Amino acid sequence: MPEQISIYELIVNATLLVQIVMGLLALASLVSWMMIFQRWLLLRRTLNELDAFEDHFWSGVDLRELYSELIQEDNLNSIENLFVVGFREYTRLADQAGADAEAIMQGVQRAMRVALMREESRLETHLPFLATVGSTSPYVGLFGTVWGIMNSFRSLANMSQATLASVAPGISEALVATAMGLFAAIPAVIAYNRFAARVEGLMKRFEAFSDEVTSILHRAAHAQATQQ
Amino acid sequence: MVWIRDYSLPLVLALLVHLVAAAMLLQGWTPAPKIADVIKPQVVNASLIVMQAPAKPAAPAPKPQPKPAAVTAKAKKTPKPSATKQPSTAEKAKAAAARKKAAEAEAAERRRLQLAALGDMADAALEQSLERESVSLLRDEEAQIAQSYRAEIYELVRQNWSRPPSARNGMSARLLVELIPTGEVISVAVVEGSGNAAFDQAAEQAVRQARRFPVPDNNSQFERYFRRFYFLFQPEDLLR
Repeated sequence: MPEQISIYELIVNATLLVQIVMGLLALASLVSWMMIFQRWLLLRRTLNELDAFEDHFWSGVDLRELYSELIQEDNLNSIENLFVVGFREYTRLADQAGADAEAIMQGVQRAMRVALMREESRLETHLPFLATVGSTSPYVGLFGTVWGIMNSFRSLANMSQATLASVAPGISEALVATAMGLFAAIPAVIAYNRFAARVEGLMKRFEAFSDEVTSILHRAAHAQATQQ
Repeated sequence: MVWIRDYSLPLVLALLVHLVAAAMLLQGWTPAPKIADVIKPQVVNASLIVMQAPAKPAAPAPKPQPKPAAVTAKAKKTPKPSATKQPSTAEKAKAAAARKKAAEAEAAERRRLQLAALGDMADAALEQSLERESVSLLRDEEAQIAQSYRAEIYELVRQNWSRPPSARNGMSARLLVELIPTGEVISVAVVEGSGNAAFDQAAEQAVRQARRFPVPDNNSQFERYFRRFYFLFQPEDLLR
């Protein structure tokens, strides 16, 4: 009775092209898992920071104090940065003599929008990579499989009598490529969908926060204008 | 470096995931091959009995109380036939012969006991044990000879058997084979079918094609072991 073929032998004895495909897929899987973990940690950290800062912000702290506190720090996290950018723009414009309240608010809004867009692009980095792995690696695996099966059938053509045992190893070897493609694709697709939804949720909260800050500054700007 | 700080932990985790996946794959890929039931080697275990006999006189206890029954049971167990089984008639004959022999031995023993002095109790017991052991030894030897013939018959049938494609592990067919003293097969009948007609037929055909089996020249042995016997076909047996 023939020895059971181990998966190691299947991979080692595969055709060069199939091996290259397998290597690519293994690399894609490794990198996509790396991205998954990195995104996961980053998004979790961002959410925690957002919660913490919002709590602090609405605890009745004076905004000027908060601002001067924050600009002392070196590493501002995303939500703190959003606030600092908006407030800095406000103080700069408000300090100029005879500044119009509407002009101040337009400047603040623009500054915060820029900060928001930066933040969004930071949160969304690598997500396109996950989407690409998720959508293409099954095809890459399939390509390896088709190639392997083509080869095993071609070698079958030279045989006088075809048995299942002469095709089966080739097909089995080829199917490893598809399995690897799916192995890479499934986590990538799941992670992409999940992370895209989480980024969207986070961005909504950022926008809401920036609107709230804008409205507070708006009130302050108008108060200042009427005083003058 | 920001890159190293941000990505070293994810990289380690990703590597871990892949190593675990690879380990599981390599571990669980090859199923443990099912070891087919092959015939166990026919171990000759006669030495067990021979060794005991000289050991006894060395320690003539007042009542050695040998247990010949246990010894015979042990001796019978070792050369277990794997392919052939005795029909009940042969079994009965065997048992009867054994009983007869035991009775003879006992009669001789009683006679000897009457002759012997009462003080020679230990000696007599020893004699008795030796006698019984020689009986069991003889029977053991016979069984071993029969076993060797059985192995030859088995081999012959195995060579003649072409396994039908529909044969599966776990099937078994029991045939009743009748021979004449020259070893020729006079009848083959399926006693217990496997449920697969092709398999049963192939088994029957194998025995018929063998036509003639090697049998012991000793007539009493032939009668006891090979006049009628069962042949058990199991695909695992033949799948080496």
